Amino acid sequence: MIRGVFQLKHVPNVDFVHISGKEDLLANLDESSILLIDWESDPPPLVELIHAAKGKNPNTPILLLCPKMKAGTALAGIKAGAASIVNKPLDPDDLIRSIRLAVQKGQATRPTVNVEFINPFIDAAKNVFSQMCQVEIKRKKIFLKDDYKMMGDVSGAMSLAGIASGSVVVSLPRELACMVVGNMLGEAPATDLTQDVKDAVGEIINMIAGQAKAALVKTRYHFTISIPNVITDPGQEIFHQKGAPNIVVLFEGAGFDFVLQVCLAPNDSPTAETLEKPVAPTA
Amino acid sequence: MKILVVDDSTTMRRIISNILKSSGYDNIVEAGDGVEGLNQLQANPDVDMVLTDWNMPNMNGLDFLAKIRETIPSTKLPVIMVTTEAEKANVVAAIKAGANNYIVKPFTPDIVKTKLEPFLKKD
Repeated sequence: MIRGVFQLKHVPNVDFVHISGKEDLLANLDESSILLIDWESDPPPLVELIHAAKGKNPNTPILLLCPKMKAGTALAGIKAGAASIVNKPLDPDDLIRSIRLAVQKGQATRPTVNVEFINPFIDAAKNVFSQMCQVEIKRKKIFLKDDYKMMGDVSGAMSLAGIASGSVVVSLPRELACMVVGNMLGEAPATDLTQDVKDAVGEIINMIAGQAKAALVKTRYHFTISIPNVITDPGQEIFHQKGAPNIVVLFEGAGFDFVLQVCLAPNDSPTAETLEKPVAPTA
Repeated sequence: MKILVVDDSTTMRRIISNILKSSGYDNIVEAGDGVEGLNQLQANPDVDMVLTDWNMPNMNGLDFLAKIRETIPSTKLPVIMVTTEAEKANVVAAIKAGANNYIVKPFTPDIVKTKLEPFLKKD
């Protein structure tokens, strides 16, 4: 048993069932189930498990328990339908908070993706990668993510404020980030997540946010931008309004998948009562 | 010709510097924000052109531009904004504050060269 999950045994009204495979899962899964999957197996069986669970009950909240260093590859699980990633070693409070959020989201009516504000970000990302990074990118999928955690090995984040507020984050796998900075500078790809790579990722999100901002002027999604942050902790939460939809756009470029997260809501929207600050990263 | 490039992103400074160097302009000084930019101008009074970002810590590009224009007119020292701030209102504000031209990020090397061409002089 994973350390930390043990804490759940002490939560009232929780029946704890350990399952060890697809058949076992299908036999035990019901409408009140929450599925916690330990990311120690290889992606194919894990993805198969998620598909099996979603096939039986599409509303099953699924959380991946994943070592921080594997958060980039856990993207496969998110793509397959998992709601969230919880970093290992597990912090019991973080685990319980993530479960609660996943359950709330599952019970609520899911918001729809608002193309009015997401398309300018998609167009901006395509322009920035094409013009500055010499990488043509293709949108593969758009989906709503049930938590506000970052994915990928390195993320550039821009807090947005104004008539609307929230944030936009681009998260790249290490290999793509290293390649992109090489292209931007006309040099060989970087060999690690150096300061140059982090700076370049910050500049990428700066340009994406700036271009989207211009496209959204005079709309209820208008915002101002400031100085970008670069994060290499995939478990950190992005700046968001409480309850605002976290839209994830999955892109493919140069053979790599990466994501753009946009969490933006007008300040006069019903969800805008509170601005939630990012949670400090766990050690 | 000496050119001052001001941007808080070292990556962006290197990208712009590489474009300038590829056009034969390799006498470049750099700064990471408006305060450093003013210091560089004081240390390098022979700077012929300034390229500056808008959003920077300590002193932003618009304030930096306004400080320059307190003492140096646009005919003596061209200042080009190179920024993600693409809204028309921002362009107007920068031109009113004394910017000679405006380049929006993202850009291609050709866009930069075209926008700078009227202000470049061969040594």
